[in-house]
Amino acid sequence: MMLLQLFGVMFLVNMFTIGGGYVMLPLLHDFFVTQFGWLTDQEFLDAVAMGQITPGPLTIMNAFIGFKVLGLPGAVVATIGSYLPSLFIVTYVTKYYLKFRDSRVVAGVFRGIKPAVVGMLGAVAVTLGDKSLVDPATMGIGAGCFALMSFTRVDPTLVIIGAGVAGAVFL
Amino acid sequence: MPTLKNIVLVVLKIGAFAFGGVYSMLSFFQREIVNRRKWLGQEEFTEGVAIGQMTPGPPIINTGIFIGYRLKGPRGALAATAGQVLPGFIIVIALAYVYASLKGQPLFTSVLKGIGAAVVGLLLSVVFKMGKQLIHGRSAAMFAVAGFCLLHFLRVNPILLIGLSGLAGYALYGRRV
Repeated sequence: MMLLQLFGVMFLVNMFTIGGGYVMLPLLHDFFVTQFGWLTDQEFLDAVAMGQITPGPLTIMNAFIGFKVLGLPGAVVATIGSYLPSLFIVTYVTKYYLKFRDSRVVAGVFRGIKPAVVGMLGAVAVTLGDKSLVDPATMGIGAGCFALMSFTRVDPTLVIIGAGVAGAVFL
Repeated sequence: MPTLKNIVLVVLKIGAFAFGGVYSMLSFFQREIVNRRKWLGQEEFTEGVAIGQMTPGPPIINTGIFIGYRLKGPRGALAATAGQVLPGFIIVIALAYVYASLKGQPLFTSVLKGIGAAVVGLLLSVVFKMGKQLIHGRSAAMFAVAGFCLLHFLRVNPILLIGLSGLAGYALYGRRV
């Protein structure tokens, strides 16, 4: 019964939030900590931290939540529940997008959206930079990674690992 | 065109090494799929990013589904989802056992700070490469500047911003070829 409830909550939260990990946090907190009492505040914060330190999307924290609540089966069920709505909805949207992308209306709309997205990503970079580029060492790491990714063909895996090692040595 | 196996391998690699969340993953996707393998152009990749933002669920997963579907239909979409999620899933379960003892370690904190700084560089590089290919002419540049300013200074909701820029795009370009 709890497994089903866990699945249902993850499915609904992912289906009705747009914008990803951070947008879901208040909802997940409300369900798991406030309403069900399945997690403490500290466990919830730990889940967020786990999502941040693991590779891949922040929402992998949902697997940790499931694990805390019901062990391995909980982790599996929470993960499937989290990504199933995306799989249905985005597959459907993409199908129709690819069909209509050449129409004048859709092409015009996306001709506006694409450069705006570039500008918005730039704004996100500035916000993140405010928080994580705080001294010459972190600025050097950030600038080095930018240059490596923009002007060389270095594998991004090496760039990330290198940044972690540089962090261990200089920070 | 890549096979299903090609797609799974690339996405697994991204899922396993893209520390730092969404923005690090975007950079991996751009490098692996647009620059290196040329499975998609910069234009289509940006469309995938926009669609990922507008649809419910985690945006980067959605962008991956867009890419997977575009390359190989529904099976590609499924492969892209599984590949992005599986490595993190395994690591999270493993970490759940040792997390308490890692938490206070100064070395661990330093590594995370280094990766945090790297993500900013990676993301700026995504912006740089997209911008170089997509922003030609004054009107496209205005859309980019407006997107930046409205999000950065006025904190307009990003979904609303994408909607508004789509409307403006329609008004400006949609009615003539």
